[in-house]
Amino acid sequence: MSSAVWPELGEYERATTTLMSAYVGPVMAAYLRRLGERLRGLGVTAPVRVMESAGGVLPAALAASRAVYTIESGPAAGVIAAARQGARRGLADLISFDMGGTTAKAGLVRGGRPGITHEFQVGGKGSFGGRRPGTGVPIKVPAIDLAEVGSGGGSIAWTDGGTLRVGPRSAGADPGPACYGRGGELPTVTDANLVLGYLDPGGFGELRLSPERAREAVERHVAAPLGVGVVEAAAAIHDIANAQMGAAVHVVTVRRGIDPRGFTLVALGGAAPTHVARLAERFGIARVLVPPRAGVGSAVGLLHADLAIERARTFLAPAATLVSCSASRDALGELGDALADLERAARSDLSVAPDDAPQVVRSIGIRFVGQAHAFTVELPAGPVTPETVQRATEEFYKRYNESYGIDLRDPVELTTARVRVVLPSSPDDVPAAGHRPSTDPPGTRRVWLDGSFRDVPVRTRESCAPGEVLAGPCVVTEPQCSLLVPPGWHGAVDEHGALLLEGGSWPAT
Amino acid sequence: MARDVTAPGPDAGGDDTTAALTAEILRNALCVAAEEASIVVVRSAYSTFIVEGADAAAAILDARGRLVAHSLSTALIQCASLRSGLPYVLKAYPAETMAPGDVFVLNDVYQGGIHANDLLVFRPVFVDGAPAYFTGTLIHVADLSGLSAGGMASDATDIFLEGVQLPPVRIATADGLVDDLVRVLAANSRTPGKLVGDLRALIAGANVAARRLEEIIESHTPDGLARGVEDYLAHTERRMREGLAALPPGTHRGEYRLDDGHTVRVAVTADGDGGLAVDFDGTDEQVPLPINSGFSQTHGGVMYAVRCFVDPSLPMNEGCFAPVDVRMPRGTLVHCTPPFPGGGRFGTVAAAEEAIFAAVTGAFTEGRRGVAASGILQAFSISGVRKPWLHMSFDLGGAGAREDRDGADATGALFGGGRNIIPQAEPIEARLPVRVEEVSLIPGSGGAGRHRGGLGTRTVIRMLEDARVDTRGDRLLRPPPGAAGGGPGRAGGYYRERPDGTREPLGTKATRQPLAAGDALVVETSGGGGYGDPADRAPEAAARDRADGRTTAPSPDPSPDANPNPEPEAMA
Repeated sequence: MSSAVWPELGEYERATTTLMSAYVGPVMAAYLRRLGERLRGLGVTAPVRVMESAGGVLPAALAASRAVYTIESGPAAGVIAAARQGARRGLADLISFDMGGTTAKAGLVRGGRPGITHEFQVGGKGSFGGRRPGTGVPIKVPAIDLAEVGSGGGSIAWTDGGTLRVGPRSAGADPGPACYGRGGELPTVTDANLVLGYLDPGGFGELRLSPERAREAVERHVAAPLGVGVVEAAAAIHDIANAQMGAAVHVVTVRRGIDPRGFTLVALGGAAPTHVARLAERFGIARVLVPPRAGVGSAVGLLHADLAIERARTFLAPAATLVSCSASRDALGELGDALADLERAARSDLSVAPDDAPQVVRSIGIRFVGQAHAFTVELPAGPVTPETVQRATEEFYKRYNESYGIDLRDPVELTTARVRVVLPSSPDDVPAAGHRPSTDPPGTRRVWLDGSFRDVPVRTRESCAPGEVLAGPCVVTEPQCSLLVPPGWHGAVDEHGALLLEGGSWPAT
Repeated sequence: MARDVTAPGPDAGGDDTTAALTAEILRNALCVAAEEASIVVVRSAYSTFIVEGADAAAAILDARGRLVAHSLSTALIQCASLRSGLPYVLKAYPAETMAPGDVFVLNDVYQGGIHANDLLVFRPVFVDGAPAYFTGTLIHVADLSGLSAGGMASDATDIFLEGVQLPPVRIATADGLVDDLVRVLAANSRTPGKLVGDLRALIAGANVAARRLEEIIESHTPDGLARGVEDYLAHTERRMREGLAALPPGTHRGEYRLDDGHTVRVAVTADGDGGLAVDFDGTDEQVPLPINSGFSQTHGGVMYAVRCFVDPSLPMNEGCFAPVDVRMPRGTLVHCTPPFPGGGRFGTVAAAEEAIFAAVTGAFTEGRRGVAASGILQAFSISGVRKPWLHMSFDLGGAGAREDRDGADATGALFGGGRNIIPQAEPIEARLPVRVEEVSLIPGSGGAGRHRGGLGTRTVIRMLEDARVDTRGDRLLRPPPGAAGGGPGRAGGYYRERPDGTREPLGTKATRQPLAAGDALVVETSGGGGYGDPADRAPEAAARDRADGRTTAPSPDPSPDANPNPEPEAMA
């Protein structure tokens, strides 16, 4: 029943949300059942939980019945990871940058909290963030607000009538980039990075990378058709990938009127460390955080997620009936009851025990009477009073003006009552990667930087001692990724194993 | 895109690559700016037509009036209107008289506008003290006077009965709205609050795009942007010409008749080298009814039709317009002149498009690319008798079948891209004294053929208070014909359904017809025409139609039921 899956106004989105749930639900239920059985077979008794798109985790049983809540769970984990990594270092304003093989995602953390949207489009046009109505299948469940572009390490570079393009087609992990030597013959971003010296031909872990295959692929499919050198072509591929990822960052920052310059860019995913500093430079971002195990950053994020659920229902009422001196007790009472019911249901979803102390966040949707788009504004804890609703209304006016530049104080109405219940996860951190001093002198590699090849130092991550200053240009390698520290950047490994880079400069125009 | 510069070292070699890259980034930045403007307009607008349907357009143009970029969900004819209107703004207010912060508005159908309710807003963006670019936004506002609330009077015999006429006028300066004008407009609207809200939304959108453009200029430098725009438009034009060069050379003729018998005639001449002339000479004269089309709308329809024959991934900018020479004789259905009304232009625009399809597809000697006619947009507006409420909406007919596939259901806009923007039932019911009882596809409404026409829809809206309705449809008396032996689509219509279930037809261009509380308005859209002999339809396709409930008859029925006017006209 759609009223059970998502009891909010708007039959189209409610129907698509319900259909999505029915579509993925049985598959997921069967999968989770098998997973649980096998884990028990291995002697793992820890409860199985599934990340939902808004960044919390759900008990497996609940996730199966509310499958649609998990539709963007992977990318959401990256934003959670970024928030967590930032909090540990007193950084509250972060941009998560999660770049894998096929896509890159950017998410925003402000004041330590990831942004949540209630207008998610499944398969929406990615180029401008997948938020545009009509470009995907809309679902109404809350999701971490992130922008996605079809550009990752495996994205294939191609030419289109004299124009170089990258993606959205991806070579994935199999056959993967040409340099993997697994049968892939088309040049990818990873191949370009290898040609430019950003990646170690020694590869990641067991995997060896073939610079010859990479050069050949870039030469045949990009450099020759465009009539340029192979290195120039590779540099252009790298730059276009950066530009596309810039679009994702742009969507979650500049396009929302948020200046990214005060933020810290957090690199997650195997391909992110190779691009992160260049991406930061595009936006004048002066601080970059590369967490330990950045290559599997999203998975680490999963371990830090809170147990959480959100419930909502339509609650249509003019704000005037709730805030005036003669505010109808009935309307206020109804809102209070609606919120209480939602909270009860959410607590029950999570099997909250009497001695648990969950965080309960209540909010209301508010819009101008006669408009369609509502803002979600939080209510303070405690009883719902004319004053609390009035304050929420003021907050709405403020945010409307910030968003649209229109200072309007017309009558507003409530649209939705919403409750999110969160059982915070344990604050324990994942053990940091150990420092393993190396007796070998650091090697060097020829790396393409700003128009020419230069010999730059190459370090392994584990050889970097806490507090040791690394100055760009240099390359820091890890089992899952390779960090490019361009000229003008310097950084150090902190006691938790993260690398914090600072510096950057405006690129020449 | 603040500081979003891509400068892979100026001496990185590969100048061509660098240039292509810069162009790519710039193009994206321009599209994002237009897109953001349209989102701002939609989210801050009041007109129900807009807020539930996201029907808005935003564009970036240069000082020569060339279209540079537009928002993604823009209907092409709205985009064409912004392009057509800007030169008239510049004529009324020469660029050197403009000041930073100025915003202009117009709706004049003879100066690039669409009709009274579609407001076009422009804001100059200055470089070195002179306007170098313009941002434009456009939406259908709630009400701006005229015979019928919402501006859909199908009995308007001249432009003055369609609403307040706005030549290009200054609506805002750096100091804010020009209150004198806003007061006049508000006084001429049945919904003054919504009108002013919509105006603010339009200006907010244009301002946002202007701000983004200024950021682009800051990061790319004025020369960098100018060069980027030139390259972008030139590249698009090159590709457009490549696509058009594939059309069969020669002059090809087509025509399409509207419900009332008026005919749009076109001669499409391809030079085989990428140039195309589209000449509407021979089209019937304009009439004192709102079925004429303003030139901007016909031009937009031409571009829509022509683009159906080229690479669909081509960006829509001046480069697409440049190779197509469009001749629209003044004083005809496709180019109305004062004081002839133009509000109901979409039937004529769709007829122009069908005529072009017929002309061009008929010219292919091999690999025929035929297409049957489509059911089109059917508009209606319901307004309160005692209280001032208004619901404007439209439904879409079935698309015509093509030589290689069935027509799509309920998407026959033929209106310039755009997507299905029909408001949902629940927000309407929450806001207005009506109940939406049914929204469904009509089984069997697609024209029979080897490929079946798309289905039309039925919407039933019950009145909870006394109301009036205006209707505006076409292809109801002459349903969309099939092609190559296919049958016509089922004709739609507008009906009043009494509480006892009896149905009375309303006119296809009715005005202010009473709907008492308890009555329902029934809107049925026409199905698309079929393509090819119905006897050739694959049995599995027919079985699938029955299983999906798309047809009810056990075998393909060449003459769909309930067709009030069974005299299909062959296409071309």
